[in-house]
Amino acid sequence: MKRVFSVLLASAMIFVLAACGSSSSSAPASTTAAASGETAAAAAATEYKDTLVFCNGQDLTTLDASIGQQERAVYLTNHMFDPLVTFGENEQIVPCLAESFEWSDDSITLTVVLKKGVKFHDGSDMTAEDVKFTMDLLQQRGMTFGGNYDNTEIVDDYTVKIHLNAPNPAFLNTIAMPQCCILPSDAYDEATFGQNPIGTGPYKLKEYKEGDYYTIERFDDYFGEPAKTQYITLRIVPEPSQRAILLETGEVDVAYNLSFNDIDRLSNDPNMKVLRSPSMKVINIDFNCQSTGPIGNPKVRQAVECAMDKDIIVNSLLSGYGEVSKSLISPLAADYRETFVNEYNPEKAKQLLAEAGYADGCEMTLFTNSDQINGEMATVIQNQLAAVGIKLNIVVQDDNTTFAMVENGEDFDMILDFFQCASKHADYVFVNAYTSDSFNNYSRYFDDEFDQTYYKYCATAEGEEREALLNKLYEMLGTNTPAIGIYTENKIVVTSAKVDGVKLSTSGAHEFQYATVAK
Amino acid sequence: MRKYIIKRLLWTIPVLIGATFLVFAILDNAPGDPAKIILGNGATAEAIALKRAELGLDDPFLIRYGRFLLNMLKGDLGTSYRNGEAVTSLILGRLGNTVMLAASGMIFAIIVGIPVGVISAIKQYSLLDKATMVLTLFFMAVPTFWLALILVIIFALNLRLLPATGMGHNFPDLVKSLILPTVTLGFGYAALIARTTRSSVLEVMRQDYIDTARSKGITDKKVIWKHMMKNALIPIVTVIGLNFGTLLGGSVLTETVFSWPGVGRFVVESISNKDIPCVLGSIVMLSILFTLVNLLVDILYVYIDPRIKSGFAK
Repeated sequence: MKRVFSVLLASAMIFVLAACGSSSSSAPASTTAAASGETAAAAAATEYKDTLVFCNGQDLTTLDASIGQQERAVYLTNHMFDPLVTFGENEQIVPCLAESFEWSDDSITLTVVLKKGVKFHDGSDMTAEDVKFTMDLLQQRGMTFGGNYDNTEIVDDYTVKIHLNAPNPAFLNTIAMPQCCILPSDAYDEATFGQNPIGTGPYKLKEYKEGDYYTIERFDDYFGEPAKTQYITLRIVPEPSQRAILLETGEVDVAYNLSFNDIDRLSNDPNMKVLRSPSMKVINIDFNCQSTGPIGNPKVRQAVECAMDKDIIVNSLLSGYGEVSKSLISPLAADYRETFVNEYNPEKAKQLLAEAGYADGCEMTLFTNSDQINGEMATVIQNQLAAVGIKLNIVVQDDNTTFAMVENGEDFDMILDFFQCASKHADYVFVNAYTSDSFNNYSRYFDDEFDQTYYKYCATAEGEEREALLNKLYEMLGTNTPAIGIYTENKIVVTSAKVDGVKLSTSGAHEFQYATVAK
Repeated sequence: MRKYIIKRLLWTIPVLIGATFLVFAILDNAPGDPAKIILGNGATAEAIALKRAELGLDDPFLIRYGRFLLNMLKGDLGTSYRNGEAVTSLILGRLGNTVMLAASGMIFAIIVGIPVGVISAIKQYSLLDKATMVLTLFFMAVPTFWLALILVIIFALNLRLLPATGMGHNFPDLVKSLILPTVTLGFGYAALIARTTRSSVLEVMRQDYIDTARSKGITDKKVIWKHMMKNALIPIVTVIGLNFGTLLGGSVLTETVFSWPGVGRFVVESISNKDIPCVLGSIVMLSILFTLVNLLVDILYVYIDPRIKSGFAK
């Protein structure tokens, strides 16, 4: 018995040692090895798998692309649905379901000629009727369109005229968003569409088990170049370290949202490829502009930004996976202008605090969620603010709790938040986050001058006048500082070296249409 | 006996009403608007108001709870706020997976725990007994999360013997995918059963009838498994029964780490999405199952201990 016990004990020790050793033993190579692995894999790849499997932590919210606006909602639906126009190279607008589009001379009527022969997954033809149905539905659901959408006129089966009440240069960006995909007017029923989505995209739904996996299948009647891999499967794997392990064991080909530690480790693995793209998502701090406490004073808000060394956050905390933000909007968005006013300057921060009447310092609270990076970032910010005399208390709580608190009108100082510019146009951020009547104006930035300037800007055609209005909007956001951008997130996807052709999107709607997985 | 079973089943009704009322009230008062969670960050106020009306969220609390109870009596647990699917089918699809995982975890715990406990008791104060007790303490204290990752790193990543996560879709794959979650889930309970078995057997060992049995020349094997275990089983069955109920609702961590599509993970996801019908439906199903398992354990006592049966006869 003693012998048996000794053997068991020894085996247990070996297992634990093997487990502890694994993390270091799997990361011996260099980045150049990763590149050569890629070439070798490509050269050897003569046959391809018929399924590409990718994994993410959170389940999809819905399969109805016209409803799900969250990033995780479009991971799969962007393969099943198409909008009239889409984002091409360098984020310029290119036709998708539209054959061509043209603005009228007064810039308030958009004539769209549709591609012929486009079929929905149920076999029906996509026509002007479907475009009108979709546009009216979006308007009915409150899609902003700068507040100036009038109607959609059907000219013939394959031509529509979209009438606006005033020019709206951001309109094409708005209708290029994934949730503005064209829906089948005959088959659309909001109650059931989420379980039986019908789009025009290169893939159609095959099967799914909510919370477990979703499989989409190549749509043979797709109007464009057919998808290269027959099936795409999304697996829901909540634990980030498990997603990394699945990638290493080959059970999945692509993993989303890994921890920076795992990304660093896998970037040294010759069997892996780390794909990285800048993004439209800015991690920011919302200030309560209506607060009766110190943060209600714009000078204090400016002082907070002057006290923050964002380089340390990006370089140390994020291991460089991000870019320091000089605005509340991603530099990739249309109409982005760099107007950074609150540079890192602790002395200036102290001076601003003194001017605001807080020469002896002040105390405030930052709300954040339990996300590891956010927690660490909050601590770094706490230390940086302490250096200029601001005592920052950190409260970690669920996002639902924080935003319900804001919506209920309760007092708060600062929230660690983010904003994704889904339309890839600065207009989207202005209207959704900082106009007084916006539901998402968490900073409680109620400024008549800003509102008037915005509505004038959004209804002004491109030109000098619009540029002047745009600059004024940025200037107001800089001086009033309703929020501050900390960094622009990088979208990072890790794939097996056998995977080729994955197209990253700056808004997270990554595409597998032309992706292949070598056997 | 039949009367007792009917009485116990009838008790399920107030338990269900109490549990659902509590959960309904807590979720209703918890922060967060389901309509906003469904529609996402960029949703407009109009879209959110429309969604709220569609989900019936603007009705008063008691009306919504009453509607839920009435529908529950008809066997309809409502539809998910998130995707409009029937809650009953969503849960039933997962309940089987949770029961399968809990049952295999418990079977593993019993197969490992009882023999280890018996051997440890028989060899009391030996090196083996001491080592076993230290190891059981370790396995009871070790976080599921850590154990799961260590097992995955060894058996999935290094040895490539078993899948790291997920549930196999055909029988051989299913068995393979069940092994690591089973061991993760079962180890802690095996340790608990081993310790309970050890103390229970030690107590029985000191009884006079064991000495009598030995003096009659009955083999050690027969003394242990026929005479000793029959009496030592009662506390062990209690531990197994109570913990099986806990396992049904408490395997959230294991389900999360192994991406096992069970009810535990579903409840957690539904809570974060404020999908009240799904949370309530899961609570109803788990409460029914928990009550049934406890009833089954009570009935099992009758067969293990004839004294209890004679109590019913009176």
